Amino acid sequence: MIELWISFAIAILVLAMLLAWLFRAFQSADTPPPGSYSPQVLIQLNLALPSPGVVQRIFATEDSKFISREGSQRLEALFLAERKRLALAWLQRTREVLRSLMSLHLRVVRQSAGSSLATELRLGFHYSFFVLTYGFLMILIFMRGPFWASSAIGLASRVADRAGSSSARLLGSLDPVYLGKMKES
Amino acid sequence: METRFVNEALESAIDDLNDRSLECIETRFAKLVYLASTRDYNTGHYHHEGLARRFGEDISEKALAETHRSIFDALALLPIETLVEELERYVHSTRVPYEEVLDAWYNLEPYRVIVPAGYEQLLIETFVSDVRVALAILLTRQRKQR
Repeated sequence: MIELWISFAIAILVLAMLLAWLFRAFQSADTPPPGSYSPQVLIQLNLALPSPGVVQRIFATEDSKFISREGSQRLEALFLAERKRLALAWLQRTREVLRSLMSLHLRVVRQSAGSSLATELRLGFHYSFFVLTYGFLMILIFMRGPFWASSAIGLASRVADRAGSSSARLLGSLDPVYLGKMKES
Repeated sequence: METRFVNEALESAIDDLNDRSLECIETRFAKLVYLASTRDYNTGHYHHEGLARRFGEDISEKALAETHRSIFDALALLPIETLVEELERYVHSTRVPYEEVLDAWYNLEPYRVIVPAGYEQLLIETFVSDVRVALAILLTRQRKQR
């Protein structure tokens, strides 16, 4: 039984290392900097990811420290409930946007070539990575609150941003009217 | 050429708004409340009699909307500690009994309607949530003092 657990732990470790290696491998030099994923056309189509400033605010630990100094359990409970609600809303909104972006991206690519295989692989990888971490983060935030897994949240945010960037590079250069029709279809 | 003229007129209208109407308003929250009050609830259009007379309805509305946005930008993502200070200064500046304003703001949530249009939903929700927490802090401090 112990051997089984050890094998299981090794398998998880190998998988985590593989994912980390793949993640680094896909950080190509031509990936746009975080935050540059949402040209105006994506905002118009309601396909912009939550802005980095909002994400930073929701997960800012300085607020948590300040509330603790107030010395009121009722205030701490209110603050944590509010932050948990916002954190879950951020996660859901990010997933919705990425799902819509992916769907639109695939429809556009099917109809007109214009995206390289490397871009498609990168986009697919980042999207899959986010989907995999989404469920894990939902449970983590729900059970332990938004300040418990800041590094995992930071990673998920960066991955979502990169998936958005990869797609936006193609979609952002297309006619907004055409994209609007594709989105509705 | 026409765009340049419009931009210059808009800048002048914003300066005028800041120099006349907003100059005597002490706090950023009070400015936000004032600018939101120039917006029609039904149409979302801004109107300021004096500004419209000087610059025309169109430029005046743009100036009010832009100033409203810039004040909101400055407040929207502040740390809660700073937001508490801003709110406290605002409540004192109203010259209405302190706890009465706090109670009204906490229960009626007028801060929901002072947000300019066109912002992402999550940013608005974060601002509203932070103001609610900041008000709860001020109310708790006030009750401890009594």
